[in-house]
Amino acid sequence: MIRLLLGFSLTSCLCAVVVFAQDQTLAQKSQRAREAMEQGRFSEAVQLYSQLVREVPGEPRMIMNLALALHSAGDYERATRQLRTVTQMDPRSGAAWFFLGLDSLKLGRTSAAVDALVKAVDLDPVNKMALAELGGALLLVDRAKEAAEYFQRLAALDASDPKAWQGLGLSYAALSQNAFAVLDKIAAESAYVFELLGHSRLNERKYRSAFYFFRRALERNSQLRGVHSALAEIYQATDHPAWAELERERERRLQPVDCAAEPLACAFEQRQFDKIVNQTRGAATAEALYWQARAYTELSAEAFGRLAMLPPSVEIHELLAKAYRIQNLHDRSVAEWQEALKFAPADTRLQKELATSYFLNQDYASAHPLLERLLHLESRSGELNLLMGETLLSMQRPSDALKHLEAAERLSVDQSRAHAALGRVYMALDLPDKAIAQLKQVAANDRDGTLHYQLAKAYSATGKTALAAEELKLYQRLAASAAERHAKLNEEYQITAP
Amino acid sequence: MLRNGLLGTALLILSSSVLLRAPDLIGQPTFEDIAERAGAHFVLRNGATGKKHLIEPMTGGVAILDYNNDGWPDLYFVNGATVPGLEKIDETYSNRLYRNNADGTFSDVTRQAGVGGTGYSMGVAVGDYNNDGSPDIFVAGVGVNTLYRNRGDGSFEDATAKAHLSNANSSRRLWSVAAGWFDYDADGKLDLFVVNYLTWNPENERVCPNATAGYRIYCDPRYYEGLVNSLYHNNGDGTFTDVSAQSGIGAHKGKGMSATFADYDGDGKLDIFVTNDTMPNFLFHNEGGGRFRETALEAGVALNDNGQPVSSMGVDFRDYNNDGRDDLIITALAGESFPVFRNLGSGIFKGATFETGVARAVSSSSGWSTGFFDFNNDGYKDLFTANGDVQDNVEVYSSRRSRQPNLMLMNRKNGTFQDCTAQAGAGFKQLGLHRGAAFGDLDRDGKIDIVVTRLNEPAEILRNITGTNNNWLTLLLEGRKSNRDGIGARVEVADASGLKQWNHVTTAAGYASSSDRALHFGLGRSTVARVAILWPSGQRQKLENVHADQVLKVREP
Repeated sequence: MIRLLLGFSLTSCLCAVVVFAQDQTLAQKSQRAREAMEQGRFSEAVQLYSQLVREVPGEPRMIMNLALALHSAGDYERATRQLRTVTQMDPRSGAAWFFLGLDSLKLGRTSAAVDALVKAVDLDPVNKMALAELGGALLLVDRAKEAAEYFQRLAALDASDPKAWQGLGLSYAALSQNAFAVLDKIAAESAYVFELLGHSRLNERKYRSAFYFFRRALERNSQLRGVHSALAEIYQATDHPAWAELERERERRLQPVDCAAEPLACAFEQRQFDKIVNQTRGAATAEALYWQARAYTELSAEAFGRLAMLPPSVEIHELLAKAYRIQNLHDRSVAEWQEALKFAPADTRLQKELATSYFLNQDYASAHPLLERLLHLESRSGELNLLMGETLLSMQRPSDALKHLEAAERLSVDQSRAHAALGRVYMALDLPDKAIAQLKQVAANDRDGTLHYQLAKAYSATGKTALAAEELKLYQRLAASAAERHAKLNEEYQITAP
Repeated sequence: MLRNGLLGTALLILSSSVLLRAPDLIGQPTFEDIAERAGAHFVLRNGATGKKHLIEPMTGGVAILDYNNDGWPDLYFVNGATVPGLEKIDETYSNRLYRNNADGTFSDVTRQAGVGGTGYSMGVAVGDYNNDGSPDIFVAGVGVNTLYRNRGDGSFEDATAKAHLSNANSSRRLWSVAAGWFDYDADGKLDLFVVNYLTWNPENERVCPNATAGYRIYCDPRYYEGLVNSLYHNNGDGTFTDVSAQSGIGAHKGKGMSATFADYDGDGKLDIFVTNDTMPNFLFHNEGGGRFRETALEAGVALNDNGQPVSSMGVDFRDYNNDGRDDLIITALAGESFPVFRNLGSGIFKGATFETGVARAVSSSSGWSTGFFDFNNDGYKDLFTANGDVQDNVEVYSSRRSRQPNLMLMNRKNGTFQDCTAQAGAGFKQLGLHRGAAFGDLDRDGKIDIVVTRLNEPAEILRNITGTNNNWLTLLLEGRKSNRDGIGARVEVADASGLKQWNHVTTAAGYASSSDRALHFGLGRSTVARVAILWPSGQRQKLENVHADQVLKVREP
């Protein structure tokens, strides 16, 4: 990205030098601005280009340079204002639309980003970066089908681009989820739904849960293909090889697919996934949605398979890191983020993800210095302050955690998490009144009673015994109901003999 | 001459001020591991198969007891067995009794004593249940508990069946982890509390997280059903009656790991605290009349400060801040901290994990056995924790370490503790999957030593070599109306400086272990002390001008 940025910047600057060649002072300033950009002194570049814009008004290329300097300095708000001016003055500036899209994304204005990036792609259909960014933005606004189309175009342009296959895989995965969501609405208790849920849990290696869903699928349709194989996989993984063999035998005994009667199943068996997608477009039957979901899942797996065949990249490691995180294998997720960072060591987004995985892996000693470095760059990040506060709290350093959690609360990130953590910090610091104020704000979200318990302790510490007793009762009620839920799930989720 | 004199005075003042300013450096508890040269080569074998059977990381405890009444504390280690057979197929799985030779060495007398044991042993509790003056041994295990009656001639008799304490023939083959002796009804006879863990069957072992990931780990106890604990009333004729149901104990299902006893509300009756793994702890308040009421939640000791149950494992229940009220320390897993509960009186506790400094010191440790003992004889109880992860392969999937050092936290005399592990000597440099630990003065030098077990590695005998001239007093109580061990007796010691401290007689401390019943007090610089004893019978006894640095036998009047 930096190389590309400098490319834009240098081109523009060269133009500017030509324009102002007759004015020695302006030319020198322009030269200094260009050098500042090249050497990463972005604030200085912003100052110089701001002066140049004032001194030579109405020059879109100079405004573009200022926008790029602002973008590089991380001032996306001001950058977008300048970029909008450029697009008004020169609607055919693909670079302006592209950066407007990028900066809108940074500011969380995804719809605006999509609009800008569509223009950038229309103006330059072979701009691979714009295609990738547009695909990503469309995924963010739940327009997975369009995202897949742009990623397909990117893959057609450059089959060695890891972003194409990563994006395509994610798009298909989203489309599979969409199909499942509709299926779940129209046939929640069907074998199809349970079978898909079972596979989802199996992929996450949640064997007991997967077992439960596959068994429920069989209760509704004992002839559903693949379920016995999946059960065999679970038995094998949980060290019941004899039971696994029994299930494999049951799968073998099922009737072969009758292509005339079951065209979708037949297409699936023949791995004609695109055909299934086409044939089920707009379909509303449970069967069609089931096969559509499965086809998209397979297409997603194929795309990720292509990604895996490419040389190692940020994208493949990022994908694996996210997959491991879903499976709660946080140590492996850490390793993948670390690999991803070898390709982009300065990428703060990846660094944030690594810090998050360190935290989830309870490796607070590693999370802490990384968060310190990130907060040095983005001291006003609510997300980073929250993570830092929680990390310090986990390191049993409530005094140090306090300022970060207060910042997180101010910066309006995940307010519930911030309030809950602040409640704990204030109690640890023997400030029960302050703890009460925080805990009361999140007590309504309490599912297991822990927040009410903390409130009880806080009230007790302030001598409000009646309120403490009331909170303790609420704790008991919620804890009992959580235990009941857990026991029920535990009872259901047992891996038993075939 | 005058100048030399002034210089000398200046140096004296300077050195005094240095000493005054650096109290933390004086009396730093220091230990050396003497197991090898003492000849006590015990290796705790858990029979690990690689299949990660749930019982493997849970054994085993150790006891310090004077089984032959020669005045020198001996050692008894419990041991594992093969898995899933749960058999002690050879002597390497045998429980072991080591006699103290009174010269810094120990001799293995297991065979002569007949206490090698059967099955997969977990914990041990020592108490003279028949008041014959010789300590008896109860071994808790997986499906098999054993009561060894001390014959008084250096040998023991398996009295389990005779005492009606066997659960081997019962339909409920309980997994017992620990036990403790106490006289809940103050009838002068020690009753038995057995801590039961959860329902487990080796034939139907779970696999966690999965085989395809390339490794297994020991499963989370949340996947298993808990058990109720057992309370046995001593009938006084060598038999016991299971009173779990009628006492109210049996109404509460938990996942018990250890138990300890103290009269936390000063009503004269011993209460029971039970640590539960990933479940709220139990505090059974002794209501009298043979009834107990579970009060942990209202007392504030069921959960950690965040309202969450932790993996509570070991426990000790003693007064660390010398205010006359018994406080709690509970060990747990890394990241959960080790909850400390300060007794505020009136049956209420306050979470003191942060305020004591314990939270930060233990944040990356997984603790098992523990104990509040005054290791440097300064009159304030310090804190020891035996550490090691539950998992023996935690490095495979996390940044934690399986093998961990033990921790020594010195009491700063102001309600806080200072982590002084790094300065606690070679004995604290050793890593391991530490489990049980027992406390007692093995070499009778007036300093509390520690014996710690390690899974599949030699046990450590940590001899206390703290460089201090502080005085001490050890009391060995003998009950007459009360139980002969004096278990439950509450003792107040006031030294010449006016410092008062409290302790009570118990062998139940830590995890699955049993400590010497002798009561130890550090007296600092005081050479005399005043002693007040409240016997379990209710009898009060006062001793004035008791000289320091002695083991004083005190008989109930």
